[in-house]
Amino acid sequence: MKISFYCLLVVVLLCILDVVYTQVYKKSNPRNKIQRVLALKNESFDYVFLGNSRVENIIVTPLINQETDKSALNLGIQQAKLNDVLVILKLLIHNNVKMQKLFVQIDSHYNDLGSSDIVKSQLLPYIHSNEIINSYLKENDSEFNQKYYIPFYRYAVNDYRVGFREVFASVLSQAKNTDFNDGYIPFGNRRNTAIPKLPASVISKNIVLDEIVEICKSNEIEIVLFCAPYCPGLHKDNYLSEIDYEIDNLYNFSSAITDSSYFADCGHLNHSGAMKFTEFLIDELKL
Amino acid sequence: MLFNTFTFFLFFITVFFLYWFLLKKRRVSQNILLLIASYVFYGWWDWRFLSLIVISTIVDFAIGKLIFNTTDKKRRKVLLVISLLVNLGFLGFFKYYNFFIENWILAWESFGISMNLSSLQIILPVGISFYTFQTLSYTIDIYRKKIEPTDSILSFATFVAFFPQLVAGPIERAQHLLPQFLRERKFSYKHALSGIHIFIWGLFKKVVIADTCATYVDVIFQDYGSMSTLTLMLGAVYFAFQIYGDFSGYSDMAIGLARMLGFDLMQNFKYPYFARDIAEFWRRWHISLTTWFRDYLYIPLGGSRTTLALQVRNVFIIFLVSGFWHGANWTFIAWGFLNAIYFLPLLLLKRNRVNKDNIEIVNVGQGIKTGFKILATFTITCFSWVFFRADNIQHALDYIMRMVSNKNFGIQFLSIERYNIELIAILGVFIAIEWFHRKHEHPFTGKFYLAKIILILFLTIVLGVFSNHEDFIYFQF
Repeated sequence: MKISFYCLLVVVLLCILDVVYTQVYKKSNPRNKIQRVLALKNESFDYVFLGNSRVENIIVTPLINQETDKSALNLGIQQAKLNDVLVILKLLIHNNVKMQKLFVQIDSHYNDLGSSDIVKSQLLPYIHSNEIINSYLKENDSEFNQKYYIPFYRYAVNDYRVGFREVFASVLSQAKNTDFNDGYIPFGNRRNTAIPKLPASVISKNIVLDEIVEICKSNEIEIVLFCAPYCPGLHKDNYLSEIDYEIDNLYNFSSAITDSSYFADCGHLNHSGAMKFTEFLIDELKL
Repeated sequence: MLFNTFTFFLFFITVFFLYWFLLKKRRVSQNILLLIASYVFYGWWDWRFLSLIVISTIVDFAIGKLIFNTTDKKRRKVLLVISLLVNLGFLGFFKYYNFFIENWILAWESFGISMNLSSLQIILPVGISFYTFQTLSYTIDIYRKKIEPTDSILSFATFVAFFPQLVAGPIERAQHLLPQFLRERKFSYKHALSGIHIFIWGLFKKVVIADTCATYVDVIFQDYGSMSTLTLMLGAVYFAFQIYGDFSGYSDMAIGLARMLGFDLMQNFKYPYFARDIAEFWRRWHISLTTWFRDYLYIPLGGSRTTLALQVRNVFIIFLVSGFWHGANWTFIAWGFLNAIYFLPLLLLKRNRVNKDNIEIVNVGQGIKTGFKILATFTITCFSWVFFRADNIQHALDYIMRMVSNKNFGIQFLSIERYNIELIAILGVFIAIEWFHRKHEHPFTGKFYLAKIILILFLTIVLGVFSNHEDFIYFQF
């Protein structure tokens, strides 16, 4: 009897916690960019930037607002890949978020048809309630069935990102250090001089990017593909020159910043570098 | 396959139902199932190393029989040596080869002679130290005429590979575990329930205590150069609870799983951090290994029934070998050496067997005295754990130097976005639970046991670390 009671107890606890966590994420103020995206409804922006940390840490959206008087939103998320960019774009369109120009960062992750664990974790609370998220996770998460059918499993195996601490902070409406209104997050004071290794060659076709372009076309959004700056040590890298040939209309800004003091590490500008690059972007693209 | 994963849950549920319902009262079939399950469990990491277990099993089964059937002392000894060579040979090669080669080269280089020996890329088979010691005890006990060999290779193979305790103990003796494979097992509801209770407690210790501590310990030991005195001290304390929660949690889960299958395994931990001196600590910590060394090394060396000088020598041998058993690194040897140093005053003052009884607090004065002793023992234990956790001796010494020299007792915000002191509350609750249940195997006893189970299950689900499953530390040994 008691063994059955324990089994039942565990199942009941898992179900209750699953419901509680999900409701907390649905009803609390955004504490990550996915929540921010889902909270955006019927809004309009002049410029939206999508990509990974090489967008999040380098596009100073407040500066764009200030200098151009245009609204800009930085939705770069750490480790995001083109599949993640695609799902965010779909969510924005689904929520009737209008944008004049969409800036999509393209660089070494062009070769990667996978998806980011961070984005996947942050999407998990909405696995049952949002069709776009559901189909994205079905395609990109090898543990989709467990996460979909076993109560609380999705929170347990992602405890670091959507577990108790995050729920607790959400309940208390603790503000994050990040200002999600514009989405720019400076890189911080770390400094790393190591030079990353880029892929040897560029893949000939990325079907995810094709889909992104197609969606923009059908929704009359002007898409701008750009490669963010790398440190001088990578300026002559074969991959970065090859990517120019492979992708039409790519703004290759990989060599736009030549002074290494503007870099926190080879792939990320520090705050001064981000300011300088955003100024450069405003001039170069006539924002 | 780790006990705290969904894969293992499915694996165990399958084995459990086949074992008790399909193969009920069919002992041989149950043993076959356990053997297959154990090999699948082990092969999940790396099936190639199953061959080592199979070879050890066949060699010790055969040698056990040959020793028993021989009266010639010399022949018996030769057979025992063959068993030792095979088992310790595997262990030596896979675990210690590179260590000896590297130190051999370093030793010659210190004389200005460069050597051209190269180390090998050797993968350490999971749990090799555990099953090697378990199977060795079988042949040694037959040699000593303490047990008779079994006629059933199936039972023996299952004894060697029994999955609940295969990769991290408790290190069982043939005398205790083997007969359990030879007799019929009946499902006992009470027994299974107590297995579930101890498993739940072990799971809590692993995923809530150990793995949460690990999150802090990893960052503190990695970036120790930028840590305050307080953080470094907490790092050592957190590691003490990490390794305790990890290893005793694994042992409890192993005991619980075995009990659900109708087996009794020995208790491996008895609230070691409540020990009042280091000798008592070692009677409470990793009991199956400590008693193994006592029976197969310390006593044959003369134990405590010899001259004081030889007793001191024996203590050092035991602790150094114990340290080396944990890993091929000088840090483990230093850890063993430190423990020998701690033990020495107790031995010289003949006070190493003073604290053998349960801890009873009868009045405030005695309570304070006991509390002080426990705290002192815990402090020196934490100090030695720094060596156990450090990457190398220099790292350990630097860590300790910074701990005593930077005199910064400030609360620090770590790169894992948590304050260094955040864990103190949860550890305080854990210590209180253990203290009030120190006479029991687990806390699920007494009037409110159901409420305690619900609470612990709730905390395990909510606070447990289930992402990036941290390996059990002792798997590497």
